[in-house]
Amino acid sequence: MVFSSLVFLYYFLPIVIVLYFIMPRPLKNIVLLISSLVFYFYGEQWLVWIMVISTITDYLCGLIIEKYRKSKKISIAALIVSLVVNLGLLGYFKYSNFFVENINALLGANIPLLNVSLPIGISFYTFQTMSYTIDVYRGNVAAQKNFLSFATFVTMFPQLVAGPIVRYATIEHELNHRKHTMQNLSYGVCRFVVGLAKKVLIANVLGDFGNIFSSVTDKSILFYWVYAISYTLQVYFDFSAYSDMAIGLGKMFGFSFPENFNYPFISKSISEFWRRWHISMGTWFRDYVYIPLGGNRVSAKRWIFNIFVVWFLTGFWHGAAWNFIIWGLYFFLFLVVEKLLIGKYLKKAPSFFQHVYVLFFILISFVIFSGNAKEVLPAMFSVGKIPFINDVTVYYLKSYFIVFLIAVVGSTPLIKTLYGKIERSKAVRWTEPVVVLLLLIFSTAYLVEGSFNPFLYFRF
Amino acid sequence: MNNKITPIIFILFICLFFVASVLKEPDEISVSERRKLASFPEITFASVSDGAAMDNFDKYISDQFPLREGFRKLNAFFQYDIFMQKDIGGLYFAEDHISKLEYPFNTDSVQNIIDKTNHIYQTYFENAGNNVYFTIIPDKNYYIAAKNGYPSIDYKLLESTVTEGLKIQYIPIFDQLAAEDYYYTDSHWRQEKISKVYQTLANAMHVQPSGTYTINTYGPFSGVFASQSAATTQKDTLYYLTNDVIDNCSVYNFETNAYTGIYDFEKAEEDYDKYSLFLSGPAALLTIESPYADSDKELIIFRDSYGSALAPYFTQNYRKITVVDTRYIASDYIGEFIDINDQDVLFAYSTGLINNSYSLK
Repeated sequence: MVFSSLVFLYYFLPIVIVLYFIMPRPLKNIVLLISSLVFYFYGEQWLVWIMVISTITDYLCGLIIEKYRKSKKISIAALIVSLVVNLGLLGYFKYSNFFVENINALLGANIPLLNVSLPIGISFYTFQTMSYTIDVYRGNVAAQKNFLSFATFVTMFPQLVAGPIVRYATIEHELNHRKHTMQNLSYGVCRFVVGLAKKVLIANVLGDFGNIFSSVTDKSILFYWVYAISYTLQVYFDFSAYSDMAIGLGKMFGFSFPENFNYPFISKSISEFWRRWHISMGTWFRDYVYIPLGGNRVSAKRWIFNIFVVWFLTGFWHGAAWNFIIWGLYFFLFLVVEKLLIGKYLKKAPSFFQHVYVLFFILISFVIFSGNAKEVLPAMFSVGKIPFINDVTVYYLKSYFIVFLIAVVGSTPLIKTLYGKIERSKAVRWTEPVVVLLLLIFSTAYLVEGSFNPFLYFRF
Repeated sequence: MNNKITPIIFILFICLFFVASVLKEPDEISVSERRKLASFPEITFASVSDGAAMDNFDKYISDQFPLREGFRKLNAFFQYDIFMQKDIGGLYFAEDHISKLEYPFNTDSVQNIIDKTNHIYQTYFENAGNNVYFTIIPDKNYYIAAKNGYPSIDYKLLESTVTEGLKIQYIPIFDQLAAEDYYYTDSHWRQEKISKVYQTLANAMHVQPSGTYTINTYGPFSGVFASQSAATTQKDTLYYLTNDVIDNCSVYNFETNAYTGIYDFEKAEEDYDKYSLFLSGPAALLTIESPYADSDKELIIFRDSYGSALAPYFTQNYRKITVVDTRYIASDYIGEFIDINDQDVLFAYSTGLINNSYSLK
């Protein structure tokens, strides 16, 4: 089940909200747990057992680590079991076919592909549960004794399938002591509906443009550039929309999930971009891979190796395909170059140049990410080989101009800044519900028509 | 965002629609979309286990959503008027017409229809010495798309590719038509407007174009494009031609084993697509017996749906017309139903089919 579906919006969510708020406090987690399992089962059926296995394993490992904290061997064994089970599940379901394909290609072997389908959200919930056992092992958090609370944390439907990657430490207190206020509910509803509109009315329409791009045969250079921009914006709106909806739903139920995006396209360096893009994943790799490897308090060579490992894994985490690995290593190169060579010059460069630098190379990165790089990248620079512009390009530019404009403006903090200035005014008091309702109605209209509705980050 | 009204409205709205969805009696058909709507899925252990029940439930909710028609119109308004998109899913409005982009040019599809047509020609007619002709029926985008700034295929390229690929005499008709010869809300041409096409074809096929007709009104007609787009309530009026020759024809349908007239009022009444009035709509193989034709000659027409309105004209000239639609019958089986002798043969395919020909068998 996805948030941007009629069954979620008009069947699942009203039932869960009503049940959740009429239940006494001790039963609220049970409502969340059962509804989360139903949510997952609706989309993935029996693959729900993988999540259950991961949950039980990490719950038990957490208890064992805590109980035998003084016995290093037992606690480390429990930690290893947790890591092996989670990485094993992830490796088997997400990466096994990738490895088989590459072994076949490399050795000319004919090993049959495994008949496995990727469980939705496995990359997110395995990372969440691993962070729990690692944190318990490190003594950063106490093991959760109550299985119900722990299972509620792992399976919680708002952030289950596409993040943000919520660590146990972040919501440990809220699992049993959260507050339900009208302020939280109001914020949650607004954030959820804004995310829904971003996904349905912007990302899906940009996705529709991507489909047109694929079908058009006589493309111009400009068409390739517009596609690259559109795809980059689509990924941003798709993924950040899901995070908005997750954070909004979390707030409705009294949880404070971490922010996952902070207007990444206004960055002035690639390093800054990654402090603003998919923040929960970046900090996860920082805390559980980069720092344990030694971080930057090591020799230059070792530091480069550490960065390499982190960005190789970052790329690979996004998908079992070479384009994702190349995409991760592309950022490894930029981060090393920025740190060792151009960082100080970049800081002194005019702001306009910094933005152009970031936007250009981010654009290229998402062409790699799209898997279309072989076709699109050369064509973007094929001056003289194909027309710079043609009638088809003009037509589709005109047809999608408004949505491009909204997407570009919406990817900057402009609207948030303007809203901040008028937030307390009386007019907003009355216009806010109207805007939220209109966004909900227009999004519903799009979904009722059954239009194009993919989820880019769905399988990560 | 500290406003009590917002969450109250949101929760009331989703709960209201939940209750309305549950209480609403399911509709069987959507008249405007001309299709059957999804019904409540069968819930079994197997269908739940493999997810089919959930997939079908999603379709059911979408099809049976309260105020569905209103939401469809709202979505069209949002995309056309707020986002100012020039087309939605290819559907666009120009010169009072609603049409669907025929774009881009599909080289493989064009080659496919050339290969299939050559196969039929070589299998049945090349050695039999029949007079074989083909024509290309332009879709209405030819007349309205490019001049209104919409992308369209290169019709000249399509025409030259097909004519070069086929070994059959080509009869061009592109200049015999104009945008107003097509229904505003549908892809098809209007039967009462294509007499010039008939005359051009008849002259090229060495038969005398003849016949005077009465133009009759069938009634309001909401074409295929109007049903796909929720942005219009525009309707056409469906017309059909009659005279003594046409009125005395009988049509035999090999699939239903039944006889009808040229115009199948019963089918048109029950069908979502009123264009089924002409030769009962989609049909694999028909024969039209025309007792008052001015010769004993026979004609075989290989056609798509455009041929349904065209074939009745030839009842003036041919005693028997066999109408074949190879989207519904494999060309290799045709010989089992038709005795090939000295019939004239006409291949008449629309540009829409030529550019999307993979349904041909």
